[in-house]
Amino acid sequence: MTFKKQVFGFLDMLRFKKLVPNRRAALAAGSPEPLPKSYRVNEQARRLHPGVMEVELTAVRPLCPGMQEFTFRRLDADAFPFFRAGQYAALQGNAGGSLVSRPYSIVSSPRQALAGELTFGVADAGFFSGWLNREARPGDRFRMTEPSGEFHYETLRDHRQIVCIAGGAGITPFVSMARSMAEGDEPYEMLLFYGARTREQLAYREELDALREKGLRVVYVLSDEEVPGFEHGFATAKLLEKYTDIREASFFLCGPQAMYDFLDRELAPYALPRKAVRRDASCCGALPAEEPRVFRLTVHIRDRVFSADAAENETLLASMERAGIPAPSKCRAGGCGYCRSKWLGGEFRIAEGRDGRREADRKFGFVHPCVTYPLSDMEIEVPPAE
Amino acid sequence: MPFGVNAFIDKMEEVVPGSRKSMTAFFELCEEVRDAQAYSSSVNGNTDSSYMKEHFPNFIRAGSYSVNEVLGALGMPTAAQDILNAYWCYLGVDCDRMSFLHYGSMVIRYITRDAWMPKMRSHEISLALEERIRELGGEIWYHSPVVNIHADGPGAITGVELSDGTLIPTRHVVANCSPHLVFGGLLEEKAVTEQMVRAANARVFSGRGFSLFLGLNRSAEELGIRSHNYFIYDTADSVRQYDRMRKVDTNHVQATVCLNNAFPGCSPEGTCILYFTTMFMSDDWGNVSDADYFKAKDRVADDMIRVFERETGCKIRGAIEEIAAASPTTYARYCGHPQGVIYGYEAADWDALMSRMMMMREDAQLFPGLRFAGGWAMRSSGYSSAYVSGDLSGRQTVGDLKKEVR
Ligand SMILES: Cc1cc2nc3c(=O)[nH]c(=O)nc-3n(C[C@H](O)[C@H](O)[C@H](O)COP(=O)(O)OP(=O)(O)OC[C@H]3O[C@@H](n4cnc5c(N)ncnc54)[C@H](O)[C@@H]3O)c2cc1C
Ligand code: FES
Repeated sequence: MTFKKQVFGFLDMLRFKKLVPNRRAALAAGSPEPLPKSYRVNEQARRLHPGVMEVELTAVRPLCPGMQEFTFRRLDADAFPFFRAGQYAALQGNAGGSLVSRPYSIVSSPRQALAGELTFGVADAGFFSGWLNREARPGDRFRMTEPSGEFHYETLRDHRQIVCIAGGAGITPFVSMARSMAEGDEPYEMLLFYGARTREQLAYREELDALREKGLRVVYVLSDEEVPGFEHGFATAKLLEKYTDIREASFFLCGPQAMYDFLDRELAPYALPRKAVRRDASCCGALPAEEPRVFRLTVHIRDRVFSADAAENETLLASMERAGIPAPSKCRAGGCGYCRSKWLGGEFRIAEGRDGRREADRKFGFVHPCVTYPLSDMEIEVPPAE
Repeated sequence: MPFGVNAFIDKMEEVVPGSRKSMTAFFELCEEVRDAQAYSSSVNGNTDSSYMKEHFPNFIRAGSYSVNEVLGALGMPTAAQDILNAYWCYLGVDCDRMSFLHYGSMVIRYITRDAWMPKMRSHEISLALEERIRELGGEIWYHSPVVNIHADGPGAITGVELSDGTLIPTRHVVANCSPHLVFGGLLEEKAVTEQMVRAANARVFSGRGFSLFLGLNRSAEELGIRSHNYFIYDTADSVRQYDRMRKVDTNHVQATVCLNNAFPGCSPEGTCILYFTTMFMSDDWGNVSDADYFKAKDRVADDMIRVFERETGCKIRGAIEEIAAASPTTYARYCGHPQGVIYGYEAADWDALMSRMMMMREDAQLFPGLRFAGGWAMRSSGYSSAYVSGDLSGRQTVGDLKKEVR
């Protein structure tokens, strides 16, 4: 071998021997300046992803019958994180003895967040939302998760033309998306179909009409009223065709399940690729049940052990919250993984179509309590809430 | 390039006629490196120098030289060097400053044993390890960042404190994060010595990571993506390339993987997964403002797609069904590493792998009771290195405990 016959010689041995003394000297020659206490990129990570924030409700105003707007400011910082219009944040509070958390689409724009303001539009439906509408007052304090979620425009994936279809309270993410477009932060052209029963049921009409000047196209679709200047009925494919080329648009849908089912049927003949239609995720709730069986749920959080009643028709997360156990959650739809917990024993089932676990998590026994229902007594290990 | 030493040499001879001799010498040298390292591990680093000289003379001879110095000495044609050095970005240091021993031992393992990964990705290994830890009686607490390491003074740890104030008394800590964070913030100030500060300051952060993940709605075959792994550079000169990687705008390097070409079942029929990784060799990314953050990610992602399409001829843009990008900010968020560094300290020049290994014991003396594991530790970054350093530091900590009992 050529190499053996002297490519390197005796000096190479010496050099090798010097590796350690050289390194020792280099380490000792480092600057004695104190090490940095923080780093720019990590600071940005903390600003954009503060985890859980302390917030105060600053204003409540009615939007339409059965729906109010809630405005918050941060107590632990001046600004809310910049986010992607369409995302949600989960609000956590203590409602009637339960520690509850619910995700709400953010209505205000990312620029407003930087200015220190974040708003939700909340319909008076369900346990926590109902409580908010009835009981919450300016000055009340809550905790809020950072903005999260994948329901937002993607420049490299979506058509420039987006068609947003809102049903009722589903208008909320689109108000933020329209504002963000108007503020120059999003490159899309937005056509919004907003369905409600009557004019009176339309929230944010004034704001949306004002946004027309900034390029928003909005079509109100009233099911129970025939009024000039408003479309009547539902957002059928025929109606969509009147305003846009269905095949050249990306769809964003937010509304009740019935609306999704309806639009699925309307759009089916176009055989659009999956990527063309995105739906906002909804919380996984309780199942209807006549006389649900109730099991014992044992919960480990670090070295503490809790116990709760767990009805077979309620998610493990809801049972923990009812019992005041501080379990983490964000999306409550199975997808974000924030509630991910170790399964230790017992039978369970997962809400249909909502098993968002990673394959390895399934293999090694992890569950997402927000979409998991007990079928026997169960034992799980839950990470502490932040 | 194919796997297998002979196949690799043959292929190289085909594309660079006249390279056979130097390539053969290269692999022989790499084998010696590998054997020397196996010997060193088998005696826990306490090598016998006369045994080393006798059995692994070329290991010692080549040991203090860079990749480019050794390949030059072997008389390898430049074109062959360029191809062989394509893997440099795996270790993140240009070939003028990367130790030959480090590169040689990586390349020989890569070429003889192929690249392997768990079907369910690194998450599967992590969970297998965590299950074994539970089986053996260990506990794992997630969502529980350590914010303080309490100590009475240098070398006298008393406990760690979690973000919610929970105190865990201990005299021993194995830290999986960077010495910069430990000596710069976590460890109580009165226990931090000038020596620790100097030693941390002397070291250089390696690349800050940026990755793009695409879920495509057509199969790899339909899109014409035939390889599992692509390296795309601006230049084959790793020194110049490294320099271009300092700035977000001038960096167009990508290491790109189409997982389906290794594991066809990894995504549903008729789809495929493609992911791209690059690194920035400075903190240029820190100039991105919050309001420009999402656009800045899109710009890098857009460039990655453009370069991939240009170099491979595969048109992927229209097939994007899912997309997610992780920037240095994302890595800072999830891993906590300073500036979003993903490869620990640069294993370059005086801080190369071999010198670190030879100083393992001495480094641990910097602060008795505190050891490091993972990408910032003595074995440098990469999965297997991170695991091995954890194994080393874990066993050594058990040794420390046993000594205390005695
Ligand atoms: C995109 C990409 C591709 C890669 N590809 C490869 C490859 O193909 N092959 C290969 O070998 N290597 C690869 N690597 C490198 C490899 O992933 C790393 O070297 C390895 O994961 C390092 O492991 P680690 O445990 O040191 O650090 P990490 O995996 O970063 O883990 C550090 C952990 O410490 C936690 N932590 C930090 N601070 C604290 C604190 N104060 N309290 C509690 N916990 C804390 C973090 O939350 C994190 O979980 C790749 C890396 C990236 C980013
Ligand atoms: S809260 Fe998101 S998966 Fe459970």
